[in-house]
Amino acid sequence: MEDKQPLTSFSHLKNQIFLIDFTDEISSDPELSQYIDKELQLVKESSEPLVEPWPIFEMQWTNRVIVGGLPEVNEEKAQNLIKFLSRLSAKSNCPIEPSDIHMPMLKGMSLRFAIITFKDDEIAKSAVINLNGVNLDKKHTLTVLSFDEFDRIMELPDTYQEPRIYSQQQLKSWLTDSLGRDQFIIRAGEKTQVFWNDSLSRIPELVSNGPLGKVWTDKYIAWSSDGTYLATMHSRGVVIWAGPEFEEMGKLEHYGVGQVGFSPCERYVLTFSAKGKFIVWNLSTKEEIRVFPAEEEKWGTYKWSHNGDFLAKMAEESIFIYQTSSMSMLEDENGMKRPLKIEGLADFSWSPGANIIACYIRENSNRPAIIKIISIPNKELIASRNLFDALACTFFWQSDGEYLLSLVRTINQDSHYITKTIFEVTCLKIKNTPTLSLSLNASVISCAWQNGTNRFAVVAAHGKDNHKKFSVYEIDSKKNIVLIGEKDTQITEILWAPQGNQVVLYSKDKYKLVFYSIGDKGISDLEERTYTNLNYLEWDPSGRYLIVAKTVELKSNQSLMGTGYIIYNGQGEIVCQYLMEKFYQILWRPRPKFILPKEAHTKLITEYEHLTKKYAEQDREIKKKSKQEKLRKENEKKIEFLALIQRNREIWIKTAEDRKNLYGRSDEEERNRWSMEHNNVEEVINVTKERIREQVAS
Amino acid sequence: MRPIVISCHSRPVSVVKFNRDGDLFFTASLDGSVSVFWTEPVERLGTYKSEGAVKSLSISDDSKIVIIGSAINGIFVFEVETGVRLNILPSYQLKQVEFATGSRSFFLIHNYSKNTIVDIIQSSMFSVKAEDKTYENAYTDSTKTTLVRSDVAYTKGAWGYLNKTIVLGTSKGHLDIFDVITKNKINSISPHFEAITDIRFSMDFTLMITASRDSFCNIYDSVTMKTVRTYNAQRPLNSAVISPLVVTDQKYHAVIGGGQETRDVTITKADQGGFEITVFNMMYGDEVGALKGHFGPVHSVDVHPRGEIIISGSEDGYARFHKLDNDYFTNKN
Repeated sequence: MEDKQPLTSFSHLKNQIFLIDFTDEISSDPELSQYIDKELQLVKESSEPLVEPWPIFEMQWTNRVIVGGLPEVNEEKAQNLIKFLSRLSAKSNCPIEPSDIHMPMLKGMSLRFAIITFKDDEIAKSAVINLNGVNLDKKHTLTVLSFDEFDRIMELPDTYQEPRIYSQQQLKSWLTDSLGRDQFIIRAGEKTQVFWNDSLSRIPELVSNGPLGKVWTDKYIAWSSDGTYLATMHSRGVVIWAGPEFEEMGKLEHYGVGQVGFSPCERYVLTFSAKGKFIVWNLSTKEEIRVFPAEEEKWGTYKWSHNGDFLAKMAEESIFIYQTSSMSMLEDENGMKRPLKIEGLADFSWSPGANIIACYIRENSNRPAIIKIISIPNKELIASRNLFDALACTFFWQSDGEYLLSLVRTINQDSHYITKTIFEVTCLKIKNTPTLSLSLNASVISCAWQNGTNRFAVVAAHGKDNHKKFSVYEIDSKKNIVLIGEKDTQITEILWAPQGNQVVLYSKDKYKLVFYSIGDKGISDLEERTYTNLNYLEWDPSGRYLIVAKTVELKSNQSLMGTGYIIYNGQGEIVCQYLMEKFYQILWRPRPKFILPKEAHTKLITEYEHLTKKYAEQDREIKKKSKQEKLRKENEKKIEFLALIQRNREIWIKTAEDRKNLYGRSDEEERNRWSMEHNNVEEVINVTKERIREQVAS
Repeated sequence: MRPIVISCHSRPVSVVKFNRDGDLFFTASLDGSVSVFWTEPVERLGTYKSEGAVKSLSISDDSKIVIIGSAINGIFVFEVETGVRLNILPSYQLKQVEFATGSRSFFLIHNYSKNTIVDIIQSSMFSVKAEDKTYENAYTDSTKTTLVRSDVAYTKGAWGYLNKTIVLGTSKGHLDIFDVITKNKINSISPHFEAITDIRFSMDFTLMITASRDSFCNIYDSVTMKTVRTYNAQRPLNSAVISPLVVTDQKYHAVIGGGQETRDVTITKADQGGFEITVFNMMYGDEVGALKGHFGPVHSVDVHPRGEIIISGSEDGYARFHKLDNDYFTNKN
């Protein structure tokens, strides 16, 4: 092993000289010994290197190309070939002298290749394009390569390696974690790391650091809709990673990519570059299947249907619907590929549960505003509702597509100061699709459905004085909108946990976070938290933990103080907390949708107490173990530290005499040299006797 | 615990220090004055007036003499008891003065153009009149020995055990250890990335502590000079001291102080400045507690020889005197 070490430093060389055995030489010629001694002495004293360092090779051969496919010629013919090559090169706008061509010869014959040096890199680049593939004669075709390309080809393995194909089990392996934990990914500085959120040990456990010895990405990242794939963005495109070890699955080349999104079915990928284009990719083949120009459009223009069968965008009062299987536009009744034209269209939205579109159509002089619900691809009208005095409408779909809440801001006929809002809930899973209605004299600030239930929460400013209230409504079995509970609040944004009854209210400027639990009895407070920074919140897919993070923008390249993340549990307790510099992004890994039927799910909830016994036992076991581990480590530290002190203390005790010399007295005397006493001394300064005359009230 | 806030300086407090016995403590300020206080009860004894900002001070082991390093005007020597100015020793731009164990000599770190000079000066100089002399002609070879003169910017130093070595910290985060007699560099380590702001040994010279602007505080084995513990304070540090309770094996605590730079204070919230004084356990590396109250970076902390009092001086112009409760001694950590 030692022989293989390179002679990197002069000191290393110097030491080698002293190891050389000169005894044989000295015995043969005794006079040599004095010269050798003198030289060695010189080496010892000198600080200058003995030998000149190796000349440095010019490693960047960017102005040179390698030309292959030449005929095998002898030396006479080689000169002709060189002349011919220089003429050929000059013809294709890459002027060179014959002396610029270097053709290596072996035993009088050429090796069928040559190296050409050009004036600069630009000409070399054009030569690669112009000269490559030129036919010399019937048998010989030129292959021109840059040295970078040559290196790349030489580094390729000689044997073909089949691409690794992952089974679904491998792709979804993170779901089978024995502790049922969730993963999250962070982007901070140059690091991109995947962690398990371990609530028991309260320290996130590292899963992956990315490919070995490489920076995973210097841009943003995104998970696929079900969490199977990870997409990292680079300046040249998107790389897809998957599997338990996050191995590369493929590259999607798109220069200047700024956003990436997966279809809900994870079969297609949409990439976007600002003022560039949208590209739809087939994920399994990594092929580009359709390109849309993006001049004015922003990310979010194209919307996927719930199962990824359709992709739609709205433009100029019509909806462009594309079938993803063929990436062609949906045909109308005449068999023509035309967009779905709706006069007065203002907004549209896909249902998350079926291939259904909801559209809001603005009112005009002839008719009131309309909400239309249309099924795709047969374009059948499912429901339609007329709205009078409507100003604006926003759609909120329940996560199963069971209900559609249309929030309609209207003109208040009674008072101009108070905004009036109408809640229109369309029940899509019931026959005849009835619509329930509720009107409030308030302006709604935020609104959200609880996942998979018939509840929604609203924060609205009520009445004249903009009194802000947080209220939760439910659609009961008699199909009425019922108010469950109300709270006064100052914070306005709503974030429901994906599972369970927790809801968190937050506000980016009030530095406050409030956890509520919503039950049948109403809203109950759980916890209120304040902190200094917040700009990103996300519940984990199980609804047990909440990430609250303060991030900086990647472009800004600044390092703000106090960036980092906190993980809370559903009750609002802190699980862990980290401060990080240059903290750009944090994302929970999504989970696939529920496949249990609803009945089985409710049954699970009712048997919850009974089922959790086993897991509680497991948790206790792990907690106990981690505690023991912690104690053991602390004990180790203690023993090591005390041993160190003991070792050094012995020196201290041994040198008591030296210390006495320095201080002029021994340790014992030093200790007893000074003590503190409190003495209270009372001294009588003066005593006088005076008679105080009684004052008589006048 | 109720701290006593001492407000007797008009500018930031740069150094706070107990004497060896712990019956007195000194506070030095950039306004050029040094005040001396009784420890029990906290009453001011008097003030020593020097010129220029006081950067450093050192008290002799017998508490008879205090030397005050002023940034521009040299070293002021005072008699502690009477307040009489004994002498002014000339120096270049001064960084630190520190008495050796036994107080027979002291070292002096000062800057001359781009060079940093570390001198060891004998205490016999106190009686030699030198007030009008320059640095070049004030000292003789018997009273001054130059340990180092180099272009490495040394920021702080400390005497090693039995005055055999001097440990010097640089502005790049290195520690150089010099032999006092041979003047050779024995050892050099680079534990930090940024300027070292404090180096101190424990009372029994078993451990050494360094604080740095890179927000780390390191504990070393003082014999082998190997780092045994590293504590991340998450804010730049200005001062660190090992509690003398290590000597009696009661507690293995260290006290650190610091905070973000004064110029950054206005751009962040007040509670993010990190101006608290942290007590941490050197054995486990955990925080034991924090003393809050300063509203500017803490420049200096010191612990009473019996470990019961922590004093601190800060940019905000106040020195704080914290007498620890009995709980501190009865608690296990």
